Amino acid sequence: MSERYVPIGWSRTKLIYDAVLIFAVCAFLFGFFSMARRAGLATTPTDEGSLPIRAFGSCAFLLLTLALSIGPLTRLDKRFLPLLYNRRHIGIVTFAVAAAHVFTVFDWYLAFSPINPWLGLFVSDAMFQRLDNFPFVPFGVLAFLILSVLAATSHDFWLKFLGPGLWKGMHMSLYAAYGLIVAHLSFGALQGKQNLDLSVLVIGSAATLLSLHLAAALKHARVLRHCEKRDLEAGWIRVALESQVLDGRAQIIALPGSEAIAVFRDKDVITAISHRCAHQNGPLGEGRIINGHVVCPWHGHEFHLTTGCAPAPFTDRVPVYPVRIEAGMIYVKPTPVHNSRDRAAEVEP
Amino acid sequence: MLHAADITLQVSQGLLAFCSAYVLVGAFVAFAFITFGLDGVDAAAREAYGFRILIYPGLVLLWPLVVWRWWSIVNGASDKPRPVAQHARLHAFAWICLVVMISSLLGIALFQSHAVISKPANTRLEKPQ
Amino acid sequence: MSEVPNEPFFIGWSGRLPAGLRAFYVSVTVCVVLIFAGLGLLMGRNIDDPGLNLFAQRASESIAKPELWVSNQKFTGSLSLLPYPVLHIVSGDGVSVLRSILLSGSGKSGVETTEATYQVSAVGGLLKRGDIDMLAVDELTVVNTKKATPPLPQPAGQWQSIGEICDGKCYPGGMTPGFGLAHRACATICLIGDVPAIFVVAEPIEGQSFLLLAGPDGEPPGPWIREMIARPVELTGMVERVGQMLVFKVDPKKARIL
Repeated sequence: MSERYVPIGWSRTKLIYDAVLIFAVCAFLFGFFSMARRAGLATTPTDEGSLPIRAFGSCAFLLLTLALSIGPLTRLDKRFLPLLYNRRHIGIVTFAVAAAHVFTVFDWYLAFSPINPWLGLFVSDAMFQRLDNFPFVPFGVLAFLILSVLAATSHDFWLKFLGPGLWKGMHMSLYAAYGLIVAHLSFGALQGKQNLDLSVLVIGSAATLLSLHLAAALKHARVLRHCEKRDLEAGWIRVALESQVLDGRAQIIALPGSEAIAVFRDKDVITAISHRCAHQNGPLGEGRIINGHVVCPWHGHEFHLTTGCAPAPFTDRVPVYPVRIEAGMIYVKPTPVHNSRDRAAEVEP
Repeated sequence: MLHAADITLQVSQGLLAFCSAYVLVGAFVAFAFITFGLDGVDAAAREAYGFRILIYPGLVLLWPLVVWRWWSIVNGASDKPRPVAQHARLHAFAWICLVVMISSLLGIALFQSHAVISKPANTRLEKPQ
Repeated sequence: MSEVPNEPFFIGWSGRLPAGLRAFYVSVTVCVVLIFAGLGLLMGRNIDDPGLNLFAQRASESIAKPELWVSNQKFTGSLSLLPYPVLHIVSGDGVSVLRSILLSGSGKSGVETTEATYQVSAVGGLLKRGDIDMLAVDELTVVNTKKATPPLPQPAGQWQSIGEICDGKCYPGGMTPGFGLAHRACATICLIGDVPAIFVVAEPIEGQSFLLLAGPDGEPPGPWIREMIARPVELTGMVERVGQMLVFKVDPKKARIL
């Protein structure tokens, strides 16, 4: 991208999205506090310093589960795609709620003492010799560190500065954060045998999330068509009959090593373009054509069907591939057409 | 002789000192990058100032990475995106790890007997003399 | 060519949701908010009862609950200094100790004392849980006119006992819950800050629900204690009665986590 950066690119849908998200968080906290403060539930009420620690902690876990569910949900049902567009805001809100959890711990358990709270945090839970009574705080600290780094690098600048590969790889550490939070809970709150509901929440969330990912992976494996080996050897891959490609839609063919090509029809013209968006590897082949450009269903990035270039002022581009039609059958060559930038690189000594 | 708990205290103090130094250096690097580096590294950042506050915490946290990218961009390294295949494989690998990790963790947490102690709570080993 | 299906397509930056998806997103919104509110209620309903400690399920008698903090309480008595300062309230005739009160300073630090030959007068907030009395001292004054000798230790035998190491300020009600896993970090910095370390026993010893922890020679316990806080532990050592307080002179070599 090379449009001038703004702090946050607000739009109407984003505002509604964030409002719903914040409302859901408030609903959780309101439900939690109103229930926990009701007299007679416990013979001794939990104090006002400890309650928010638990409320923010469980809310952050729930938000993270939600954020990680969106990916597989969009693969299972395309109607969920709009949730993906602003997913980073769930990440930011998760970080904010987790930060509130950390802050309340510092403001209560680690406060009122001459000892540096960070030191108190490190010292108090560092006995790693035994599996039972294993420290739970370090898992939480690491998870929070990951959430902080990811929240801090969510601006578009970072995607460009670090490159999509590194950025996306870095942001996949969110899965590690989820695992660390499950560890934080397993060796922490779940050790209090009285709290059955929390166990149900943690196991239920983790099981839902893992099943969604499994279902999405299975669906993806079933839907994706792989090219045939003899076609690869011949240098031209058979894609589909010309009549099978609907106007404005694509047939996707997977190459070995999970590279994939999307073969689009725009009125009478058949073109082949990378299935992977240059922005964040979104599935371009599932996009739509607008003014000769394919629009990615994830974040709306556009690429010209024949050149693979994003419209000015953007400078992204994706590979495009040569297409041949013989007797109504579409063939595509799996080596990209050299674009001008590559050619310039070639003629240089 | 130093007790294990004292070693923990010293290691924690060392860790804390390291973290403080890291953040301090990061604050300087981030300031230098925002002031002198950003415009040269990314054309979209020119005359854009509001977003600099948003990226500042990330620059502090990731300053070694920032220095490396800054250096390589200034020296004309092209930005080669990671091949898709690698990314997809990484994703699958991450998920398999997570499935194993989460199920074993929950297994340990739930089947670990914690405060079920069968022996008598108090034993008088010796009467007062 | 077959008919192109007319599925709604959302372009993120357009800021507009396709008309075909609006009803779907109304239901998604309702679901998300209901799930969050419902889980909030569920999580809030089952907060652990902080009145119950780690040994709640095996304790033969009910565990005393912490009482509310009462500020501005004044006590006068004699002071014993080791392992931690304890104020002993003596009967009118000066023969028997009526009450022995643990002392701490403000926040998570111990009280500063030096004098033990005169009576002292302490003003502060009183925390009480069963037989544990803890005074968070605001002001400590030496009553120069009255000589006082702290009660002499009476041996009560050697004991091996199961319980949890807590700090003497949070367990009696400084925080609820003031024990257990979640409170471990707080208990640790309390003990580093010289708040008296107490051992809350699974079953009473000599009628007491807790013992004041000490090292083998009656000094404040060493760093070994920090690895054992807020865990089920078994401690072995000599027990002494000082006034109404039981002091547990623990042998660190025989202390173990269960």
